Amino acid sequence: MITHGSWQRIKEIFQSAQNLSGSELSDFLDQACGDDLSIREEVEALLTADASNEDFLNVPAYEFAATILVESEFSAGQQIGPYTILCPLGSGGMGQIYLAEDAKLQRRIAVKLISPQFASDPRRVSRFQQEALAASGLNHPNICVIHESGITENGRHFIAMEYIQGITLREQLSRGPLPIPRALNIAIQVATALASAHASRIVHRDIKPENIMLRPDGYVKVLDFGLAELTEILPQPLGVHEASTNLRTEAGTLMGTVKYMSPEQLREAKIDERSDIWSLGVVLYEMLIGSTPFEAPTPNETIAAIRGGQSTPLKFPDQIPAELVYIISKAVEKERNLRYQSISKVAADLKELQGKLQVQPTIDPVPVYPYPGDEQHTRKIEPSGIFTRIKSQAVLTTDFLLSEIRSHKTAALFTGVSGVLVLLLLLPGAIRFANRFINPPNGSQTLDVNPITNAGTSFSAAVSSDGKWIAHAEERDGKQRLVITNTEASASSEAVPPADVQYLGVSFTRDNNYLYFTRKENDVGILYSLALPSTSPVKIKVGVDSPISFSPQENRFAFVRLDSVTTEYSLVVANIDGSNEQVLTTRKGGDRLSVYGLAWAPNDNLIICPTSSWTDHGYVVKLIGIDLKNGQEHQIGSDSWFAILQLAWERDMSGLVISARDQATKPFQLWRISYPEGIRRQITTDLAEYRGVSLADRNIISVRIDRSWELVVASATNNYSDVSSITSGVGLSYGLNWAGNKRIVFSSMAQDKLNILRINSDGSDLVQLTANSGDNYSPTASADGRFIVFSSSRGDGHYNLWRMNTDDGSDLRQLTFTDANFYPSISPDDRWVAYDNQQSNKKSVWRVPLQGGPPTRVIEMYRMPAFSPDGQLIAARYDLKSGSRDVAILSSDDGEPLRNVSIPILEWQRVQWLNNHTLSYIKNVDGEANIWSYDLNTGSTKQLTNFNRDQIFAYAWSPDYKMLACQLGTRMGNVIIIKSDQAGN
Amino acid sequence: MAMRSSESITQLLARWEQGDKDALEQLTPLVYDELHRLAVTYLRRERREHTLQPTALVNELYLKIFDQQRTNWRNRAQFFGVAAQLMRRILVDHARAHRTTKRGGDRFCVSLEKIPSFGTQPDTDLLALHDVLNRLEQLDPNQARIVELRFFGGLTIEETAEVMGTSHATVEREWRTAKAFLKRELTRTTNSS
Repeated sequence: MITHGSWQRIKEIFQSAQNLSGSELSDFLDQACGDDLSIREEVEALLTADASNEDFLNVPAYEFAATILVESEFSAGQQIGPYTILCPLGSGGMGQIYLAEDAKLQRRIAVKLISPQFASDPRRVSRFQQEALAASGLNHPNICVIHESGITENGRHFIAMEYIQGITLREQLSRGPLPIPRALNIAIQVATALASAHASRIVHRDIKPENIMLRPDGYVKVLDFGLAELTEILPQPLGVHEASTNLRTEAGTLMGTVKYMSPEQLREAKIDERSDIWSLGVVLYEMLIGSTPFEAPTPNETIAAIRGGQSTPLKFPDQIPAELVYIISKAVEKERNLRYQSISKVAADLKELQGKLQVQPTIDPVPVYPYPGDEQHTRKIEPSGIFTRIKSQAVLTTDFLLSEIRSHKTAALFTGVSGVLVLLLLLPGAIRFANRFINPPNGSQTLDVNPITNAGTSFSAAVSSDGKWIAHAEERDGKQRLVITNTEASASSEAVPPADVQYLGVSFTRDNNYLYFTRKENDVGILYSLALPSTSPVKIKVGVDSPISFSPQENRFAFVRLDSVTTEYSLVVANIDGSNEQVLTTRKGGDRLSVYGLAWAPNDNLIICPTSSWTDHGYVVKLIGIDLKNGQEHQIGSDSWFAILQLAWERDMSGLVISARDQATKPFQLWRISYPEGIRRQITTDLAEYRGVSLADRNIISVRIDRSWELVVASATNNYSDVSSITSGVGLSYGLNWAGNKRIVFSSMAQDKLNILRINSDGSDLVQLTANSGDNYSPTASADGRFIVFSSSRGDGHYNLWRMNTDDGSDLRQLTFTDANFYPSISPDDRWVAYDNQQSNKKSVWRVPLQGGPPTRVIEMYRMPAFSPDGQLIAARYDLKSGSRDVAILSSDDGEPLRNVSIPILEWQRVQWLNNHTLSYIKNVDGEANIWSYDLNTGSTKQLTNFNRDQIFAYAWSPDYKMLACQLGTRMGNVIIIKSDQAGN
Repeated sequence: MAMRSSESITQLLARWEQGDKDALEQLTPLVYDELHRLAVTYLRRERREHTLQPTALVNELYLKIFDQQRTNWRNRAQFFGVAAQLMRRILVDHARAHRTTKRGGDRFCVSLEKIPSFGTQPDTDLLALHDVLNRLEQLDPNQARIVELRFFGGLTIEETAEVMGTSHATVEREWRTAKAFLKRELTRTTNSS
């Protein structure tokens, strides 16, 4: 045996000897080792090893790590016990989970393979098996059924359980807190599941958001009954129902779990059903508030907070009803004898409250957040009689809205997608929380809106004619993929893997054998087809810039092509293989054909395509039918629209269903247009948005978009890492600004209108400054903080700039008197307001005195001005010919362009100034939006924030540049189906 | 059902950095899952594109898990040291898990015979290497660390020297010695069993 001492000698001799050979070597060894044969033996062995050692260990371990890690894992077709693996579903806390088929019972199940880390101790495994056995006896609709637990042929432990489609509550909560009705609904279902288990004397002991699954149909399923054993600390020998968590052994607990543990669980006490009550209370609190009640920076501090002596009353926002505060407080009572004693009582109290909230229409269903509309915080200062809202034609260009939205949003979920894809997501649509998912939209009692997906990442859905298949595109981490769902088997599979592309539309052939889809790749529209169930996509045609519509025989298809150089739009039909192109009609010079969808009539006589144009009344979208025989065009119905997305014919041609908005400030809704009369009727009437239409019989498939946001502040001294949330809400929000260094003004939806609100940067004193007067947004404050200038459609419905006092919204003055005036920016000396005008499809920058007076044009072709802090310069945006956008620095004296700046900003957003030589902008990388800076002197860019959030709707620097205010947002897009009874006539 | 825990990983790394040994215990399964997921993705991509770029696997892992922006590593050395140690730990755990599954208790599964670096040693495996590396650690911690950085962390001689704060020549000399030792010990193990 080599000792430490001898090793030093061996090493030295070896290292000296390794370049010697022959007699030189043996002479050296004789001399160096002397009589110590053991040393000599070791050295010689080393030298022998060294001689053939050139390649040894020269390839790093990671070169084969992937192979090693995967080779012994399971793949499709393999058996786990009696089950055949179909595909991996993901990984959970304890190991990989696979979708598998139980051939005997002909059903799909989920198989969880326990990671070796959790199964290395036989005692733990046997306890787990006992528990799993007990849990497998549970039979309740809210409990994930455990079919069996077993061991694979090569010794891996597995659990076979019910296959549940959906997402975990954790995934759901990563998008923000839930509205009260939804949180109540989930809590009730979990409570009834627990009640059933407790009746069988089974304690879950690991109730947490990761273990609660939300199914698309609204069912909630509690996972992993009895499996807590595995993730718990390995204890000294204990009885089955004794928990084991002491502080010393905390190491084995996965992070995060302690947050949901009861005090007695953390005290090594014998735990009972009341521990689950505690955990559910914590989960309910988190659903509403967004964090757990005893959260601390480290697990040890969290444990201390949970175990700590007297409970201080939990803090709740005012909007949480007293009953709910009571229920949660009683569930997380530290002394368990004072806690709820039975979960059934919790369930009963929750249900009672649920009933009360439902029959009490005066309770606004948005009470989780401090939200404008709460009368106590609202001062309605404006005499609402002075400006009566006149129903007006929309006067904005799509381009404007796009840029408006993007300038505040710029998470660029759909960077590079032209127009409406983005519009769809983001146009006005305040969401009533109560109907975000499964409840019927407000005001339409019978409409049955059922979610197909609930991950919130979906868009572009289509259903097959028999209703069996649904295809939808979804986006994660900035990449989009195509997923096909078999609605009968409730099974989804990835049809096309994630890529840096944008899906425009999907359609099934009527025989359901093929799926066609259009997507943009590097801004080129390409049509593919895919043989079902699922093969590799085949490229059919390049230059297809819209979804397609098949002819009735499906031997031809129609689409719209956009020539980005000439900006000419063509309606094209081609053979099914892409050959034999024929142009039916074209538009140019600002007139457009819709690139969002068209519909070939079932009788093969015409194609309906929306068109847009500028008229004397502004910007108008119409439904146009193009006769396939003679090319003649006629309008369907007499209505004008602001935007139309997709459209689908009913098979008997008695009508069309379209996704459209009649006004600029309305959300996209579903409408039915009778044919040939063209009489419209609104199908959905809520404030979410419905984009896309696909029909199977009379069932409508669409994608519903819900948005929410959070207003946060962060300080420069901490590199904006100290993000604190000061308020939150739902629906649209167009712009925010600081009024002085302490107050923030921002826009937000209240009812169905955009209004301007003011809040202190510490979250206090939320005041609504505008009400009942059109849409009000893009607030910007004067340097002294006294005035707010904003864009508003109040009065005659034209979009003009107005000024009001920051304190109370008084002293209202109209600054411009034309139309389509947006993006005010006030010069630092408070003399000028620069702004953007887009009247009649022309873009220009203007300015007007803050005190009122005649406006003057600064420069044409530029947009979105922003004064530099010293007032010398204006940063503005402009269109390059190719359709890409750039930034220019203008002289604020005469508007002369001084230089162009090539910042890689994809989105139409107004850039801001961070100081006199640095601009800031929002940049989206892999689905995460952050604020970046661009140094005008050096040309270098820098990431300033690390928000880890998917969208930034708006941001602003405080006047002293010490603080950043930011509206961080979330959008949820889910495929939904509206059943025939309601959707039809 | 996916459980993403990058935040926990970050916190654990921070704890580990502060000297909390338990953190490694908790880190390993988390990183393991992430690595496994990446590995599956890479192999799938490889099958599709017929190219394997294993370094990309680790690069991606590093980016994901050892994102230096999010953790305040005192220095590069520590960062690479941690990465190498974790990689070792993960591979060894994996091998160990599979060893127990083979009948007769033979060493199994992560046989490295197909791997060029082990080409001439059909009977050696990752676990044996791990064992003898532990032995080396007792005799010569510096050499063991060099092996960890070079083999498990994938660092070049130059990088290893930088991380260890020593010269290229020293690293080269010690690396060669360590390899000879390991090979010798592996042979010894094989012969005597």
